[in-house]
Amino acid sequence: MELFSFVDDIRRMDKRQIIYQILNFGMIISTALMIWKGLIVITASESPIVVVLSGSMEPAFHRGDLLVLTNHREEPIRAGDICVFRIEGREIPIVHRIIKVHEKDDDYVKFLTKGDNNNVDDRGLYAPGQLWLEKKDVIGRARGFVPYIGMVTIIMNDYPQLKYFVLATLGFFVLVHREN
Amino acid sequence: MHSFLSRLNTLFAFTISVLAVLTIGVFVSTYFEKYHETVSIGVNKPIVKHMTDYSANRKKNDLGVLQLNLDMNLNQLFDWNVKQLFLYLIAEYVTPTNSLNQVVLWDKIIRRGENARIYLHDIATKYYFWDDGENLRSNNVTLSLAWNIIPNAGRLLHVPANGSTSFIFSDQYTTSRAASPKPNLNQLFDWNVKQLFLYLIAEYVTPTNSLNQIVLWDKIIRRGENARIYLHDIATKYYFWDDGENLRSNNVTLSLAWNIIPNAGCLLHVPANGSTSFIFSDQYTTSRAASPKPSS
Repeated sequence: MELFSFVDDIRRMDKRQIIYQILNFGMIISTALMIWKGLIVITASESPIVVVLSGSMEPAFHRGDLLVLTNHREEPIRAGDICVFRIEGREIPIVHRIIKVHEKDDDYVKFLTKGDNNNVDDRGLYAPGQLWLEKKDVIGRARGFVPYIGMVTIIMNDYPQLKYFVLATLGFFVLVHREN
Repeated sequence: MHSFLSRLNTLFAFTISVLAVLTIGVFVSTYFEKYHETVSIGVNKPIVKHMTDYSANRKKNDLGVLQLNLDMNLNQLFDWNVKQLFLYLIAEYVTPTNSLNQVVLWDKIIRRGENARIYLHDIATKYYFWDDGENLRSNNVTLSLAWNIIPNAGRLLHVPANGSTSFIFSDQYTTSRAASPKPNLNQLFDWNVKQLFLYLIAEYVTPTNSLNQIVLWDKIIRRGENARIYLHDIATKYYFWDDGENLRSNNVTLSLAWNIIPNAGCLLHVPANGSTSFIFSDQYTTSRAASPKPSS
């Protein structure tokens, strides 16, 4: 019954080691959070890493690919850029390419997007009456690309039991693991 | 069981590590690559039209029309970290209302392994060149090509090509047909029009009824069907019965209207421009008198 050897380990832990394990756990959580927030600051984007959810940008990006975004104010919106935007009132961001840009002297920009794999532009996707996108709708411009990694996120979202199982198992092992 | 699990764990961790190192290696090895290339762009016959832009604000905007010549060979851009090239041709110009305008006129996807030699002569632009306003006449437009490098892993680069070209639009509008264009309902179909229901109403007044309306002809045009109609000397689809005996010498107005059936939204009834009137004869016609049969 080697499987249950950890039960004896837990019984042998004294108060100091329990506190140490809890602090260890807290360190891991806060390190992850700091890395994420640090990325948000460096890239100036509210969501610097996104997973491609649809096939509207094939064959460049497939479902499950990971994109790294930046959204610095000095980077102008230009035709050809791949931008991730959110339509007002909807929460799912869309990754498409900018095909038309009309910019005024006071830095007001309006632009139109289209997915590479779509035949028509995105006007049918925008909010009713909306003909153009503006800077406030943009989450960021895609600057880097890593293939396939985002599939993990998609699977976890499609099968939430798997997500809870993985989180529970990880939490359990972190709490119970003892550095000998 | 314990050693089987730990072996599986080690194998899995090693696979992930190798994949990560390979990916980072691919990214670092092409980090400084510039992907520059020279292309040749030409423009033929640039003209400006003034039409209603149904895809945008439904106002009359300027539409630029031109033919393109493109000549380039991009085969040497494909190294081991290039999955695909996305080429796009941008028309860039300045107007009094907007300090910068960029419109993509043509694009193309070239995947790894496909032939990257492009020679196109006198092709139409892939997308419409609508201005956000009416300022294309005499405007100096720069056409430049650029490509978006989609890597296997790494940076998404936008590289402008060497070899842009400029041209100036004419200072007058070009109309496709001089005064009366052939009626064509194809431009009514925007993304929210599922179907058009056309109906021809005959409207007239009689001593007994102050208003009479009879539909003489109708037609359904679904989205995607050709909306150009040319019918000559057809009979009316429905009988023109009067509610009485007051059609002789009556002045009847024929007007066409369409009912826009949207995907979602208002059901509009839109009267067309271009109605006609006529006056019925003041005598009844009997069927035999009109076309006498020749005796054999």
